[in-house]
Amino acid sequence: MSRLDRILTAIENTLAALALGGASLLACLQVILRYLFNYTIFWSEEATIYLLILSTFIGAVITLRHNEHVNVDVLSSLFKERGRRALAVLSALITVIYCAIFGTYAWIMITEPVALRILTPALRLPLWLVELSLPVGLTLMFLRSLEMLYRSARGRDTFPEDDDSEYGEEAAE
Amino acid sequence: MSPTLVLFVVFFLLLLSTAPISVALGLTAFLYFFYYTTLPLTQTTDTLFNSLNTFTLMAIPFFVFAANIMTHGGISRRLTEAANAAVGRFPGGLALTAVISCMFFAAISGSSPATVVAVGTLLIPAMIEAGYGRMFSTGIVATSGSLGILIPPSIPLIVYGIATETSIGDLFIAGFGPGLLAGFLLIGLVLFTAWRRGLRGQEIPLTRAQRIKAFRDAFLGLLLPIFVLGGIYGGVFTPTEAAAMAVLYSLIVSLFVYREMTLKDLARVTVASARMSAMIMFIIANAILFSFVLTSERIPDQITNLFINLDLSWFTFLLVVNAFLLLVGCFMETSSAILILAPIFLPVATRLGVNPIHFGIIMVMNLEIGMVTPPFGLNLFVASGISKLSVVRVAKASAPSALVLLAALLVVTYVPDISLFLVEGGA
Repeated sequence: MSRLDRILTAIENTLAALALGGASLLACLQVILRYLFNYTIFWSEEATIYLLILSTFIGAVITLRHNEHVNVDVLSSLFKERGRRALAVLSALITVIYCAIFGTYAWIMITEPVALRILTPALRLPLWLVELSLPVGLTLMFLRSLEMLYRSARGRDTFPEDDDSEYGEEAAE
Repeated sequence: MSPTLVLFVVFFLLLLSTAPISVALGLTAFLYFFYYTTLPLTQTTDTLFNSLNTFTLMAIPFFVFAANIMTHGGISRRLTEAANAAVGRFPGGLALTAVISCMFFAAISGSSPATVVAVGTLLIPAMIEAGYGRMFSTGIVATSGSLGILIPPSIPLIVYGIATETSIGDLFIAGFGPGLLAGFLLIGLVLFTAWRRGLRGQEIPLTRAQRIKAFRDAFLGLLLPIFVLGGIYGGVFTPTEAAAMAVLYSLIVSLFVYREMTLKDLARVTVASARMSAMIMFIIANAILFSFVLTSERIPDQITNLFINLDLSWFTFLLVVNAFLLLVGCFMETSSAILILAPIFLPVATRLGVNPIHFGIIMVMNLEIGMVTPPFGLNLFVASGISKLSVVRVAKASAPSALVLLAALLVVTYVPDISLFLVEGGA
């Protein structure tokens, strides 16, 4: 479990960061080429968008893992230990349901004939390929939310800050 | 029960369950598709994906990334030092430095919590050490940080521009006047507090040479807003490209000029930025799905009709909207509130002759105040993390400065020229 966890974490971090970094480079390159050489990379906008969408849906898995998704925390301040735990279980359960539903329909979406047939306008990539980030992200989120549910039901800390806590400076502050 | 009512009750219950906002928005929208429409359910995931399929929206990850690089690459520290060199010797000098640093940093980052982190980690401990009191020090930074979403570039203004199809360049320019007004009022508050409590400035004033050096060091950071905003308004690049160039610019300055960032730091900052921006973008995607539902329920039309029947003047309308938005700002996250509410209120506003750009500034200022009011003020959480005060006490500490922002809001609401004097064809 912890081994799988480490591998998944490494993949998620790398993918989200590479996509963000790549998109930044591409967008800058486009501006520079346009101004210096009057040259337009016709697929750069599309590629930037798809890279950042990838970064978003994979990054959302990492934020879920660290329980950083923003929520309205009014009720839990009113409750004591037990009530808080129940609330944590409830919110984890709702997240599991969300990921299960959206994950399922995301997989259905990319296997529909439209997604298999249509190519994106500039990159000429099949639609299912660029849309793949959504079902993959949601599936990983589903796994993470199950883990969260398990942890909260067992009354464990839902903020696992372990081996990759060094990455967490920003959002953890 | 009408579908609308069911929707809002479900949404509210999901929010109360402490589920993530994004999940609450998305799940409510799904239930609507499931019970009230015959649309294929893959339409939900399709909308979720395509809600992000806009180049303009991509300015957000870039601005988040740029702000993180500036915080870790020494740019924000130098900006703070320059601010200190300018105002540090006056009474309450460090608090003045905090307000002005927030204004500087707001002008290069688009986010309000990022501003609190950048300025707060440096100045809150320094202020406490100088005897300014933990409460006052934390409160002033939490509030000044909220200027981050008013002084351009600003993520909420980008979101408003997308939701209402208004020019983001114009919105940015319109944010300046109100941002400066709010900033100066906060400076006034600091001076007043310093006078009443006898807060000191620097013990030994900096020499002229030291001050010149501080400004020269911060020069590259101070140049960035001119580069970014000048570029957008001069038509050199789009807001998204400007944000990407801000990443490149701050990267070059941090890696090669200041040399305060190693490639290893960069890898960490990139992961942290991807996480932060994913959090915002995932909420936005779900909020767009939710607002799609509201539009198909024709809720904006219903609200417009309601207001037309009430026959309000623009004066009372803006008062009502302000009160409502302040309330909403206390409970909702900024971007989703804009995506859901802007399309609902803007049609009424334009009918009553309110300029759409001006209305955007009013909305963002309201939600900005919401960032420092409980229970959902993001700045309160961030500031409490830095100063180790409880969120409730940070909220109490921020109350006076939040009132100052409220005063600024009233002035900005009823004097449109403060926002529009720089906008072409406005005023």
